[in-house]
Amino acid sequence: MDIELLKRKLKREKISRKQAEKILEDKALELYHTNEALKKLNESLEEKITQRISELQESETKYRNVIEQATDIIYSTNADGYITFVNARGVEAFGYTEKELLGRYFIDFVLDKYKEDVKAFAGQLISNVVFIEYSEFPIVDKNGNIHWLGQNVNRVEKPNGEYYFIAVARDITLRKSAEKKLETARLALEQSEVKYRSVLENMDLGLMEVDTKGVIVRVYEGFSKMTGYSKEELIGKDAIKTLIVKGYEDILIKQDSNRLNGELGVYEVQIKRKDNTRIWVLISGAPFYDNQGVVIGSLGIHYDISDIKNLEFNLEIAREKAVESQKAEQKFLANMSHEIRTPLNGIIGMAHLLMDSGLDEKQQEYVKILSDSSVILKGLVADILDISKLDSGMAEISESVFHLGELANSLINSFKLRANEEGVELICLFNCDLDCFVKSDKQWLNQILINLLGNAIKFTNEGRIELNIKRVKEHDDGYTYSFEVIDTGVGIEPEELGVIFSAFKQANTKVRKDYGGTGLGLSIASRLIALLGGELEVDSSLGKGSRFFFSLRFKTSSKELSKNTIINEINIEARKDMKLLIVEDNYMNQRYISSLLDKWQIEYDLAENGRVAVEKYKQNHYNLIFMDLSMPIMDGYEATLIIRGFCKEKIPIVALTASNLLSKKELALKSGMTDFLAKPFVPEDLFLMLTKHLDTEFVKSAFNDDAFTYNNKLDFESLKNIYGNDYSHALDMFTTFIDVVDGEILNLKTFIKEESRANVKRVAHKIKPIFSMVGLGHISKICEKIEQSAKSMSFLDINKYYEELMIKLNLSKPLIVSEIYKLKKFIKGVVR
Amino acid sequence: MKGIVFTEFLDMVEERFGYEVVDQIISESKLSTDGIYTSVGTYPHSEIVKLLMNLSDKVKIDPKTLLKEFGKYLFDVFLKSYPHFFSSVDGAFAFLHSIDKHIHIEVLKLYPDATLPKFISYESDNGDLIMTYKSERKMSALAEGLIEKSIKHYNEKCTVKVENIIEDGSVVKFTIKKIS
Repeated sequence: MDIELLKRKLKREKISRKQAEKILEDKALELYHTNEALKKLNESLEEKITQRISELQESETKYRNVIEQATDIIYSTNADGYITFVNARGVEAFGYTEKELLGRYFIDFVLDKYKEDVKAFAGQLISNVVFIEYSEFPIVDKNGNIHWLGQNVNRVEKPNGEYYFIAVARDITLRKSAEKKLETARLALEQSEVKYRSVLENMDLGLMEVDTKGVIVRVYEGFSKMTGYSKEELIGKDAIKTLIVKGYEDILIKQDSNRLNGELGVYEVQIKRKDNTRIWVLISGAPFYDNQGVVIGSLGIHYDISDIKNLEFNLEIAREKAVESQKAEQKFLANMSHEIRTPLNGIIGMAHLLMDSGLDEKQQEYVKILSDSSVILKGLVADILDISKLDSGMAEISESVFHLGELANSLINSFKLRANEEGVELICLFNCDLDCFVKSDKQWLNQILINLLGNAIKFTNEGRIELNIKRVKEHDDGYTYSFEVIDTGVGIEPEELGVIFSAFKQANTKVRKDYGGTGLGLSIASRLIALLGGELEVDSSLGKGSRFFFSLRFKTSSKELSKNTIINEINIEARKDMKLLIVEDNYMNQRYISSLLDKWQIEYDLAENGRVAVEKYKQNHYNLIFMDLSMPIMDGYEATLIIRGFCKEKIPIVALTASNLLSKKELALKSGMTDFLAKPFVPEDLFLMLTKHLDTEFVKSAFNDDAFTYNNKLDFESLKNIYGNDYSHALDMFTTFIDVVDGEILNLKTFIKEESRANVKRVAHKIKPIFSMVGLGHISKICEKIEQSAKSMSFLDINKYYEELMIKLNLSKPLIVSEIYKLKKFIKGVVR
Repeated sequence: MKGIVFTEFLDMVEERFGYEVVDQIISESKLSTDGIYTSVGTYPHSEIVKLLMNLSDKVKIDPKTLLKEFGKYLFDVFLKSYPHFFSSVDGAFAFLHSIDKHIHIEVLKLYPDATLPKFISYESDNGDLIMTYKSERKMSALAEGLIEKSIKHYNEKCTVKVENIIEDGSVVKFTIKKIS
C-alpha cells in the first residue's frame, strides 16, 4: 500500500518534472527567438549605423570642402577660446600658418583696444545669454596689418554638455573704411549743416519756395517774420502779385524763367510787407528738382538789405558832397594860382621888355630890382602852390626826355652870377657821358636842384659849392644817378637836422632872421625827391658845411630829344606863309607873347576873347592858335568847340592857363584843344610849343642852317632822312653800331664755318639794317645777298660774300668812328 | 551530453529492468552527478558510457544492442514530445534528411551548447539514402535504432546497411535502401 502510494507520488513528481522541463524548453525557445530578433535588430542597426557613418563621412567631406573653399573666414575654438580649427581663408586673413594658429587664444589676435569688448561677447555666449552672436572688431595679422572682421559666433553644445564655438567671419575692412569715410563725411555735413543753419538763423534770412508757376508752396518762419504775413496767408498765392513792389516784376519773371533752366541767381528787389511798408531784399534763388531731375520749383533765400540800401544811398550822397567839395577846393587852388600868377606874369614879362627898351643905368637898376623881386615873389607863390599840391597829393609827374648834362649846365650857369656876387666858387662835377638822356620830370628835378643849390648859396658866405652828379648803377632799362650838393656853409646843428625838411621850418628863428625865405625850399625838394622815388638825406657839420644828397633811378631814352635847350642859340627866320592867332584877354600877357613873336619874326593876330577869335578864325588862315581859357564874353572852351565845329583841317589849339591842374587840362583837351601851356612860361616853353605843333618843314628850316654835315662817303641823304636834326639819336646809333658790329660779324663767321644755313640766314637778316642806320647801305646789300644765298648756295659762295663784307666793313669803320667824334663835338657845341 | 539522453535512458532501464537496476547502475557508476539529471541540463558524456557499461554487465546484453534499443525507445519519446518534427514530413527519407537540416538546427536554438552528431545525408543515383554519422562519442548504434524506428514509423520497408568509415566508429556510413 505504501509502495503504491509512493509510486503514484513518484509518477506525479516525474510528470511535474517533465512539465517543468517542457516549460523550460518553451522558455528557452522563446528566449532563442527573442535573441534572434534582437540579433536581427542589432544587425540592421549596425547596417544603418554603417550607412549613416558613410553618409556622414561623405557629408563631412562635402562640408569640409565647402568650409575650406569658403570665402568667409571659418574657425572654431574650444570653450576657452583656443583655436581648434581654421579654414584656408582664415589662414590667409590672419597671415599665420594653420599650425601657428591652432591652439592660440583667439583674443590674442584682437586689436588691444577691442579685446575687452570681444571678451564680453564671448562671455555672453558662455553664460548662455545667447547662442549666436554677431560682432565686429579689428584683428592684427602677422604683418601687423589691421583687418576688421564681422563675425557670427555659434555656441555648439556637445551631447556631454560641453560646448565649443564656431565662428564665421568676413573681412569687412573695406566696408569699415568706407563707413568711416562716410561717417566723417556725415559728421562734416552735419557740422556744416549746423553751422549754416545757425548762420541762417542768425542772419534773419527768410526762406520761401514757389512752384514753377510762381505760386508760393512753402513759407518758413523767417520769411513770415520778414513780410508780416502768416504762412497760411501766403501759401497758394502768386508770389509776384502778392509781394513784389511794382516795377520789379520783370526782374522776378526773368529770374523765374532762369530757374526753370536750372540757373541760380542773386538779385535785389523791393518787396511790400503786409503793412504796406517796403523793404529791400537780396534774393538768392535756386531751383529744386524731383526724383527725375525735373525742376519743380525754386527756393528763394531773402535777406533784408534795407539798412544796407539806406547806407548805400547815404554814402552816395556823402560821396557826391565829397566830390563837390574836392572840386571846390581844386577850383579855389586853380583860381588862386590864376589870380596871383597872371598879374605876376605881367610884371615879369613887362620887366623883361622894359630892359630891352633903351633905359639909362639908373632905370636899368630899378627895372632889375623890379624884375628880381617879381621873380622872388613868383618863386614864393610857386613854392606855396607846390607844397600845397604836394600835400594834397595832386602833384603829378610829367615825364619827358632830357639831357642831365644840359640840366646841370644850365643850373650852374644860372647860379654862377649869384655865386660870384656872394664870393663863392660854384662847380659842377658831372661824371657821366654825353649820352645822359634820361626820362623823368625835368621840371621837378630842376626845381629840386634849384632849391638845393639856392639853399647852399644862401647859407654859404665863403668857400665853394659843388654839384656832383654820378651814374652809380646800371639797370636793364636805365641807370641810377646820385646827386650831391656840397657846401662850405654854416652847417646845421645836429638837433635841427630832424626838422629841416618839414614845411615852414627853418633851422631856427635866428636863421629866418639872418637869411630870410619861407623855409619851404628843402621841404619841397625833399617831397619832390620822394615823388620821383628817392630820398633826400643830409650830412652836416656845424660851421664847416653841409652835404645834401639823394639818388634817383631814371629810364634812359635816346629816341626823343627835348629840343628846347637848343632854341636860344638858333636864329629863327620868319615864315611868310605862317600866321598865329593869340587869344588872350589880359593885356600884359598879350604884350608878352606878341613881343616874343615879334622877336622871332612870326606873324600873328590878337583876339581879346573867344568871340573875336572865332570871327578872326573864319576870316583868316592860321597855323596855330594860343587860347586863354578864362575870358569874358566867350571863354576858351566854347571858342574851341565852335572852331572845331567848322574846322576842316585840324588846326592846333594850345591852351594858355595859369592852372597846372590836371582837371583843367582834361577839360581843355575834352573841348578839343591840342595841347596845354602853363602860365607863366619862359620864351623857350612858347617856342617848344611852336616846334611841337607846326609842320616839320618849319622846324627843319629852323634848324637847317646849323645842320651837321655827314661825311659824303656815307649815305648822307639817307642819314638826314633817318635822324633829321636828332643828332643825339644819330650819335647813339653810331656808337651802338661800333659796339655791336664786331660781335655780330663774329657770329656770322662762326655759323658760316659751321655751315648752319638757318643761323647764317638769321644773323644776316638781323644785322642788315644796322649798316643802313650808319649810312653803309652798300654793306646792307651784301648782307642781303648772304641772307638770300644762305637758303641754297654753296658755302664757298657764301664765304666769298662774307670776305667782301669784311673788306668793306674794315674800310668803313674808321669813317664811323670819326663821325662819332664829330657828332659829339657838334652836340657839345650846340649845348654850349 | 544532453540531459534528455540520461533521463530517457534511465526511464527505459526502469521500464525494461525495474528501478532496482536503475538504482544499482547509478550506485555502481559512482557518478559526479549522483545520477540526478534533468532533460534541460547537460552532463558529462562519460556518465552515460558508465551507465551503459554497468547496465550491459548487469543484464548481460552487449552495449551496442542496448544502445540500438535505446535509439528505438528515444524515437518514441521524441515522437511524443516533438510531434511537429514528424508531422511536417511525409516519409522516412524526408524525415532523415531533416535531422541535419532542420531538427538539429532547432535543437541548437534550445540548447546552443549541445554537442550534436553530424548527419550528412544525400540520395545516391539509385535512390538510396546515404547518411554519414560523424561523432567523437561513437554512438552510431543509437542512430541505427532511431533510423530503423523512423522507417517503421512511416510504414516503409528498407534495408539499413551500416559500415564503419573509421574503424573506431567515429564516422559511420548508413546506406538505406527502400524495398519495393
